[in-house]
Amino acid sequence: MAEVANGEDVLGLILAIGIPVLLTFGPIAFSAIYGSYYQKSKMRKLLEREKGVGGSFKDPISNLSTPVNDQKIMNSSLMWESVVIGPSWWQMLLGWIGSIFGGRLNAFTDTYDWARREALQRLREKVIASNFDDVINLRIETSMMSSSNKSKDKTAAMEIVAYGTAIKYE
Amino acid sequence: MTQGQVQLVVSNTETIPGMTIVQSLGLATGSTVRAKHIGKDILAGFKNIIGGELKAYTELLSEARNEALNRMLADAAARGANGVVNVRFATSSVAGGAAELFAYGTAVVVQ
Repeated sequence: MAEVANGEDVLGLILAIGIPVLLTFGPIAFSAIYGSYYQKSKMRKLLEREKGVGGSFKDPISNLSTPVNDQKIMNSSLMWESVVIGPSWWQMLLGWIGSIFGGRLNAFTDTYDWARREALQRLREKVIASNFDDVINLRIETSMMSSSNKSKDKTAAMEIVAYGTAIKYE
Repeated sequence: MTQGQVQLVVSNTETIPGMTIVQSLGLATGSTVRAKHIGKDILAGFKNIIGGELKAYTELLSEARNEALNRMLADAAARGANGVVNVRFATSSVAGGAAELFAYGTAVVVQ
């Protein structure tokens, strides 16, 4: 009988510790595991798309203010695309820990790299879909969307916008 | 890009490729302030757990940027311009959750 009671005690102890631990660290563990899986899958999809547009022929985007070749230009138009990106809770935690010691913060690098390339890729796809040949004078601008330290708003979002002049040769 | 009846040529280069600028008509500006939608904000908060793109905000800012751009074009058209060159975008966050989007460029007459 004593053994059974002992088993119940152990189970009770596991539940008493386990449930609060799960509730405390569950979301952050979910964020760490599923978040990195999700972001990696997005990166793979982007790499595929980049091959499709940039790999098969030359990249239409440049940041020169005049086109390189001397072809006559038929028409031009301003084009832009944007991406709003937020790091996951896990990355924010890593970033917070990293900011104590300073130095390199690897946690954010991949996410922001993805966002920038995604914005460029969308611009490429839009330009090609609108039947333009090249983009000149590309600019990439970044802005923080939220959040002041005082506000209880937890989302940390960064907006990346890529814009340039799309041109069509004669 | 069209605005009303006038066909405006917009470019972020200093000249419009393939055309010549005849006259400069000064700075054309357009701005808009947008606040986050609370429902979208909650959804974005959930999305923030795993990180990645916050589509609701991307759409919101795209709409707002289009509006700022259209206001800039209306400003340019009101001066009798048929083109805007050297267009730049600027963003600033006003008090909690609201963002100001600002587009500016030089209104010109091109041929």
